[in-house]
Order: sequence, then C-alpha cells, then structure tokens
Amino acid sequence: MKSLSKIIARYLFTAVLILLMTLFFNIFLYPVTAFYVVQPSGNTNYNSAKGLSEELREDNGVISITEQGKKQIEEQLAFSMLLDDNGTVIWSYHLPEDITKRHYTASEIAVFSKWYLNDYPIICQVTDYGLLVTGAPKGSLFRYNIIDSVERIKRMFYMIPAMLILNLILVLLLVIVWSVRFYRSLRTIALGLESLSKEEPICLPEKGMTELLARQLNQTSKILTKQREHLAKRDDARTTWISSVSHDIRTPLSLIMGYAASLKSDSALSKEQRRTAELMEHQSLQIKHLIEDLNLTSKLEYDMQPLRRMAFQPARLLRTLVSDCYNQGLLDTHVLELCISKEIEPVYLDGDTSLLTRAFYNLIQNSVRHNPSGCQIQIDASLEKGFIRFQYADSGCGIPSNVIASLTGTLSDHEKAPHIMGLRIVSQIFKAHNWKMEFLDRNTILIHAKIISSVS
Amino acid sequence: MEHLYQARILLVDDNTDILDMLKNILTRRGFLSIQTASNCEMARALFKKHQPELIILDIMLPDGDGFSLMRDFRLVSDAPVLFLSAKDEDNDRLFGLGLGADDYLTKPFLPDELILRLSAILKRTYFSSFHTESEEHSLILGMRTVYLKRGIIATPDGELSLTAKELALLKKLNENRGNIVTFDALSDAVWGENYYGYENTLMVHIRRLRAKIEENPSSPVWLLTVRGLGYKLVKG
Repeated sequence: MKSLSKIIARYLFTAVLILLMTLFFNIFLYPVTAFYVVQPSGNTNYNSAKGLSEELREDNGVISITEQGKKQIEEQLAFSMLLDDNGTVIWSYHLPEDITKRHYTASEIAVFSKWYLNDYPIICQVTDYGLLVTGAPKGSLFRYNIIDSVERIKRMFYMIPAMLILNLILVLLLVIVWSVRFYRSLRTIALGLESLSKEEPICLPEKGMTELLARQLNQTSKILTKQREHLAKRDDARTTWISSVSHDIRTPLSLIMGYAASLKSDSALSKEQRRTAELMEHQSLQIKHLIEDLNLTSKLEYDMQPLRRMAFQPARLLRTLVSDCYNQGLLDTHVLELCISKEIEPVYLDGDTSLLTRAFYNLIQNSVRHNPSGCQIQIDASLEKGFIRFQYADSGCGIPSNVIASLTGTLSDHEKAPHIMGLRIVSQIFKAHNWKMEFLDRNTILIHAKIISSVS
Repeated sequence: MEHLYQARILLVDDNTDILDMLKNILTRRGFLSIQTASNCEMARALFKKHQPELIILDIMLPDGDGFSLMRDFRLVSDAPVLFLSAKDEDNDRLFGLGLGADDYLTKPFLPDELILRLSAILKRTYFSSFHTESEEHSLILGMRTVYLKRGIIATPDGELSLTAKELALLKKLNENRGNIVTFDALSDAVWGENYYGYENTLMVHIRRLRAKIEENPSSPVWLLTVRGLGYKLVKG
C-alpha cells in the first residue's frame, strides 16, 4: 500500500506541476506570442484606413487624393468618401455600386460610424476637409462597441485574477477528486496484489477503470490457486507414499531383525554363520535408520513435521547429548570435546528439543561414520550479541564440497546433486527453527540461534 | 509369580509371522507362558481365559485397534501393556502412553531392546516390593558397602551416614552406574528441575561423598569426574 500512496502522491505532484507550467506559459509566453505573431498581420485594413487621411489634398477647393492613397484603397480597402458637416458627399473614390447615396443624415452617420454601411466595415476620421468615411472590404474587419460603467471595468481588473485563482482551485479540486477515485480503484488492485504475494486467493470486483486489470489478476489468482493445490496434492501424495512405504516395510524388517538376532546367538550355528546373521542384523538396523531419516526429511521438507517448541537451556541439551553419545559407546574410538562458555549456562532458547538433539546427534554420527579410524570432535557454544554461536568442528576428512554446495543451494547446474540424508536433516531442522547454519570450511559448521531469555 | 520368566504374556499382532518370531524370541530367553492372538476377538478370549500379567499389543488389528483393546483390558485388569507398532508418529506414541501404556516400541525393533523393556516393566510392576535391602538397595564399592535405603556406608573402620543430598546423588549415579550423569541430571535429582547456580554446591557435595566412599578421595576410583559433562560411578 505504501507504493500505491507513492504513485498517487506522484500523480498529484505531476498534475500540480502541469498546472503551474500552463500558468507560466500563459503569463509569460502568451503576451509575447500575441505581440509578435498576431499583431503584424491582424489588422492591416484598419491601419491602412487610419493612414488614409494623410493622403488627402485640397487644391482650390477641389479635394483629391494622392496616388499612394488611391493604391491603398484599391489594394486594401473598398472605398473612401468625404462628407461635409451637412452629411453631403463632397469627394469619393472607388465607391461600390451598392452605395449610391450622396447624402447622409446625422442618425445614418452615427449608425455606420460605429458599425457597418451596407455590410462594409466603416472607419471614420475627422479631417480638416470634413468627415473621411473609409469602407473596408466586406467581411475583412470585425467591429464591436463596448459601453460600460467605469466602476464595472475597474471591477473587471480585480475579477481577472480572482477568476484565475478560482480556476486554479477548480482544477486542483478536480485533480484531487480524480486522484481519490484513481486511488480507490488502484487500492483494490494493490490489495489484490498484496494478497497474491501472500499466496492468498483473490476475487476483485471487475468494474470501473481497473476492470481489465482486476479481471487479469483474478485469472492469475485462479491459476496460482490451482497450481498450489496441485503442488500440495503432489507433496501430500509423496509424503503419504513415503510414510506408507516406511510403515509397510517395518513389519518385514522386524522379522529380519528378529530372526537375525536369534541366529546370531544360536550356538548350533557355525561362527561364520553367526557372523553373517550379525551382519544381517546390522544392515537391517541401517535400513531402519534410513527409513526414519527418509520419513523425517520428507516431513520437514513439506512442513508436515510439527515442532513441539519449548524453552530450553542449550548447555543442558549439549551436555546430555554428549553424555548419551559416550554412554551409548558411539565415541569409543573418537574424542568429543564440549566447551560451553560460562555465560551460556543461564540462557534459554526456543525449539523442539528432540529434533535439535537429533540434529546435533546426526552431526556427531556423521563425523564418526566418515572417520572410522577416529578423529577429534569439538563443540563450542558461546554468546554473540543476542545469539548463541555453536561451532561444530572435527579433525576428520571433512564434508565434500559438493555436499556443502548442495546444502547451501550453490550447486551449479551441471553438477549432480549428491545423495545426502543425515546432513540434510540437520540443515532442515535448523532451518525449521530459523537457526542460521553456515559452513566455515569443510570441517567447521557455525550455527546461530536467537536467545529468548536468560535466568538472572 | 516367583520369577519374571513365569509371567503370563499375551502377544497381540495381526501378522502371524511376527507373532511366531516374538514367541520364539521370548521362549529362547526363558519366558514360559506365552499366548498369541492375531485379532481383537481372540485377544479378548485369551485375556479372559489366561489373565495375562503383561500384554504386548499392536495398534492396527483387523477387527479393531490396540488402543480400544487396551481400554477394555484396563477396565478389568492392571496388567502392564507395551505397545509394539509400526506407527512411529509422535501423536500415536503420545496417545498410547497417554492412555496409560507402560511403554511404546516401534517396529522394526531390536529383540534385545524388547526383552530389556519387557523385563523392566515386569520388575517394576511385580517385583519392586519383594526386593530385600541386601539384594536391591546395597551398593558395593570395593571394601565399602552402601545401604541406600538406610543411607549408611559400612566401611572396615565402622559405619558412616550419608546426608539426604549425598544419598540422592549416589542413588542417581547408581541408577546410571557405568554411564556419565550430567551436572544437570544430578542437580535435578537433588534440587529439582530448573535449577541454576548450584554447580559449586554440587562440587562440594561430590567432594564430601568421595570422602565417604573412596579410599583416597584425591585420587577417586569409583566416582569419577567427566570434564565438562558430569560424573560417573564406575561399575564394580
């Protein structure tokens, strides 16, 4: 939703910016444009008519016009005539046929001086010889008279900025209203996207300006839901299959282990036969552990292993684990050193102790199994900024680099994933507890666990 | 029953091969009275007829389940029950033990483990009250004999008495004789769970205990320290 607010804020900012830029254009650029572009070509007839009075001449009471004046009338105007104070035409040039009158009353002069004469726009000028009436070609000039009170005109000057401000407010209001509408439409879409990112199914209303977008998102949601169901079904089937197989294999394996144990201690059999029975029992035990590991790893992989979380003291857990390893004879040919710093003793972590014990046990068992001639194993636990830092190391052959790559997800595409079970379970258990596991080198593993409390 | 091998045992499992194998294992180990049933109906009939003193029960049976069967048995008898099942889910295990079962073992199993568990249940149920002081509660440490029930140590120079805490420590160590017992387990035994800060006090009690059970406390031969872990009472 933060990103949506950002979009809307940016939209508003852009709208205001466009508005201000338009205003700037109008204030500064429009007058300039009007002066240089509109002025020169806008009223040529008018200017020509205004300058015509300069071209009149009187010679012994006879009025005439210069050649220049005639040229102006012929090229740019329609006609020109001079009226005396009585309204009688005393001189004319180029009068059109539809203007035949030679005398005009005061009221006629008053009308055409402001408007038109037979649709010819009229420009009147008072000269020394009388009233010069010049007609521009029909349809060439627009005439309009404004008569208003001075007060009203003054008010007009105040009104213009006020109107401008009102316009600005209106535009701003419209922008805000559209922003809100836009925000509401996009909000639904944004909420939908948020739900999709949380893998929740969505059903957005398919209407308004975001109709198409909503429809496409609903379709995407349906596809994702279907895919999720398909994946869940597949994972479930896989886990159930592993569970069923492991269950079904348990009874025959019990028989093999039981009879192997009987044969192993049967004095009627030869030493070689009893050794074979012992081997059978040992291998059956391996299968039993493999089944248990397979079951556990499959459940951890698909989050089907419930975590029985509780507060526990890691120092106690490690001591019990190492003692059990010694008591079970696991470390007969190996040396395991446990080094717990004093400040760890009162610290509590949160987790499933049986799974975590299993994880550490797997690490020890791994070192023992892969170093049959013996090695030194060292477990250190120390405090580090709200975390407990477990360091597990052995002096043995070390973990193969492709196993580390597989566990850390850095295995390249062309490398074949190795078959690992014990360390995978370790990694899965720590991951399920949000404990960070990293490989310092082939012989050293670091595990970071967040502390929940400590006894004062 | 004078001896645990005389215990009447009822085996219930839907797989007759497993039943044969279990019977074979138990017979070879000396158990004399073993009945087998492959379904609930047979099990009920044999239970009524033989009044077993220990029942080894599978969970999945063709005409019912082991949990219901155990409930029925418990209505009329306190005979201990050991579940032996291929169901290895924590939920099943917790449910079975929650019903009052004495133990829960998952298949596949080591026959030795089954025998040990079964014997422990029988001893706990039928023989704990018959133990005499001399048989079960005495501990021989070289020239010294510790009478755990009375908290007395008989030495060539006379008797020594143990304090309550020393006795609790020695009992815990004796229960796990030959194995390492962690500081935590010993502290729990003496001061109860969730102890903290008793390490030094524990060391003091161990030193005093050594003074009573060792010939030369500065070079102990019976009660050894396992660095960083705890203590171990050496087997005789």
